[in-house]
Amino acid sequence: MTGLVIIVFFLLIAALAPILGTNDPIAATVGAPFDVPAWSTIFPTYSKLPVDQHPINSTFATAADTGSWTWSGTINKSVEPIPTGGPIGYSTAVLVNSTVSPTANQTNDPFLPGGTAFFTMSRTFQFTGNAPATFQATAVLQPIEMQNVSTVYVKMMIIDPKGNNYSLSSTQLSALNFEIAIPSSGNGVWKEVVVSSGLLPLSGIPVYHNITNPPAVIFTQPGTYNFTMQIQGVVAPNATAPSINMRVAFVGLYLRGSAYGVLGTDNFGRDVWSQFVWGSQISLLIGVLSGIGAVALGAIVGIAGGYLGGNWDEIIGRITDFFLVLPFLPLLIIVVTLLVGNAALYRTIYVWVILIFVILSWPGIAKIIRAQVLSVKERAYVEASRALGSDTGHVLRKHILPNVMGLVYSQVALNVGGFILLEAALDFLAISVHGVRTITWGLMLTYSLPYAVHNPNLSYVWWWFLPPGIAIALLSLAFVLVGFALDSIFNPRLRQR
Amino acid sequence: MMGLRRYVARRIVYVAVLVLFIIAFNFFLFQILPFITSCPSGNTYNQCFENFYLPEVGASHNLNATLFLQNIRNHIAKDYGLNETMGVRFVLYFRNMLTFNFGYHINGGDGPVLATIQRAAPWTILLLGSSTIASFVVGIGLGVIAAAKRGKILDVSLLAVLLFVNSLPVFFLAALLQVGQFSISGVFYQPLGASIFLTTGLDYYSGIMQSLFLPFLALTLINVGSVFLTQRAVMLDVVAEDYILMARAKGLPERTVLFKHAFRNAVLPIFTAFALAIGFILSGAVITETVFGWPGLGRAIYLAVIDFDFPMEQAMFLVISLMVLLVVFIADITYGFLDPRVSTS
Repeated sequence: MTGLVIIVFFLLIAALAPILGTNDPIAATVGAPFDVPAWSTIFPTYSKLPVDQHPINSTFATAADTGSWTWSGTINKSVEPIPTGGPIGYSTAVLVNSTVSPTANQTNDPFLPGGTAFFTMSRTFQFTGNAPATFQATAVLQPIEMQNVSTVYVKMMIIDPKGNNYSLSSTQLSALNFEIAIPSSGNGVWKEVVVSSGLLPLSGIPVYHNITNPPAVIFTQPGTYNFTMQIQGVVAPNATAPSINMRVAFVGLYLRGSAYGVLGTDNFGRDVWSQFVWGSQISLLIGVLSGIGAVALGAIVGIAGGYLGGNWDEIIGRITDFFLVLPFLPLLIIVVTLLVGNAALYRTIYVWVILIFVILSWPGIAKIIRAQVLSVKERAYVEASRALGSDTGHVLRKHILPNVMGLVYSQVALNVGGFILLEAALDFLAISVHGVRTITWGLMLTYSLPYAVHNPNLSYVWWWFLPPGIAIALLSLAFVLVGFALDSIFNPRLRQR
Repeated sequence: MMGLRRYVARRIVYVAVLVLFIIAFNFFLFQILPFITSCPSGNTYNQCFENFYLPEVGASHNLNATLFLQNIRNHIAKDYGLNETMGVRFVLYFRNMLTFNFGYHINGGDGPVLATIQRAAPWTILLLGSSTIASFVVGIGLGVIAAAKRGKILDVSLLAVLLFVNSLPVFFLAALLQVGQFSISGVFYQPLGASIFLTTGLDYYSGIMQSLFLPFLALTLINVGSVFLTQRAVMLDVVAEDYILMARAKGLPERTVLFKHAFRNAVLPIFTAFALAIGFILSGAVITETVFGWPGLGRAIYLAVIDFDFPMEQAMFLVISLMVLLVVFIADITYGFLDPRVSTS
């Protein structure tokens, strides 16, 4: 019963993976690396960790949202729906038309030499708690026809309660991240400007030469902070009426804490729960299909050989022994290495893996079942039955099979678990048969193992390391329990006690 | 006894045939490999084969170096009969295999393959032998006890614990043990090479024991579960038989009933499992050895496959197959002694 419950639980998780695992397990970076699960902050060790905050999340959909921003510069602005062809997920944007006088002072900003500030939008937010692990500022902008401006940049700043101004945009790395391409006419290309602090290797990370931990430097105290986004442009010296037109669809500031989600994050900040959920599909698939196939084949051969006896048994026995002595893991490794190298087979690789599992494991099962059949065949009641004239079918059905089925079911139970483990082992040996964009429980264990074994200060990354391992064990166990239940149903003598 | 002698004789012939089969299969497997791994069309078979098996001889501005490497390539080609027909190659291979002349490493190690195997084999036998015996002793004992007390707390809890541990992935359990060792003793696990480095005498053996303990524990824990399960299942089947009821009715002590009557009849499947387990000693524990850095055959195989070291792969394949075959053969013979019904069939 317990086994069934566990299996059903995992089956549900696997089936519902697209819904449950909302984050892309490989590509999406949702948090800082090594976030602990959100619920674990109740424990004293983790209670001081900062949590995720989204102080600014503006899509300009409501008047209150737009009104929360303070604008400066000579601008005309209006909120309107985004014409078709815009970025997915955003429906409204602020259309800004900004001009400066040709003689306006330049900003003398090292960020953009010779640049003039056209307009700024800023907003304050309250910050409490501890400094986040990382933060990320995002803006989604579309340039529209501009006049007499040669280079346009986005500059983002955070001002802390003490008045220190930190520029998130940096000239140290590729400034292309902050540059808005000026369209030749009409609407330009939408651009998402992302500024990220910390360890994540995204493009355009500002490099703070003397600051090793930007969030800790910036967010030193609770209080009122100010986030400002400024658009600067280079104006030609004697240009007339330079202007910038732009749509701003989204501005956001995320402060990533050290706690996220159901199972935290891995070393790249990806959601472990999503990985867990998606990984369950492959484990179940390969395990169950291989188990059923191998035992079916093994049982048929074993019963045939054991019952028929004589020459048939010899021949079948020889074939069985031949497959039996083939060394399992080396052959598996060799074949899999070759499969992975052959591009043509890549699409059907799971089928091949299951086939190989079946081909390499049925002999062991056949031998065990044959032993049992032999043992049963020589019992007195079978002999008596034959003496009474029962034909083969009758003897098989009434005498041999009932005594063998129990063993068959327990073998299925054991072997499905074994195949799930074997698949995880293949992943661990880095002979993975999966594409780059798939994740399995075995791979999760493989990646987390180095961090788990040697890092007591990361708490041995228990949230990343334990769930897949325990899940594999529980799933295998569940199958075994179900096997037992089946055993007691089909073996009447066990029931008597 | 006539039946037994005939049985043994038949078995010997059969095993000899199988050995030849295995050797031939090994040959053909590695002959076909170059083709399975995308041999570019237009190459002749020999070219494919050469590119696959022989080390690269890149262009070098040093003429002597190039000639030297080319010389080596020619030498190897002659050794493996790469420029001959397949028939000649097969005869060469056959003669080599029978004399245990496995050739030299290509990529992975250094020197003759046979030396590597001889160096690594004792470590594997030590680790797997000890853990197989331990897991069987413990598993059989616990299995008999659990079968006797079926349904009671002891049985259920043994089942739950052992099965759960059995289902853990080996490397997961290995990591847990390492973490456990670190958090208990504050010392990281030391792989074998490090723990016996420059030690002699008692230090040497204690170093081996130190490094052996965790892998031994991991393997034993993993394997006890299945032994226990099989033994228990078979015992349950036997214990339900009438002659057990009779023995109990006669008033025999429970221990006699269990071990003298029930166990003897339950021994066949468990014996099969044990024979197979011993046979798989040499082929098993690839993962365990890799995780713990244990320098045995399992890790050697893994490195050979990763490095595409074909002479080593070929040799290991053969050695393991023959080992398993030998053990299966011995198991079958002893079968005949243990179960009189079998040999008279």
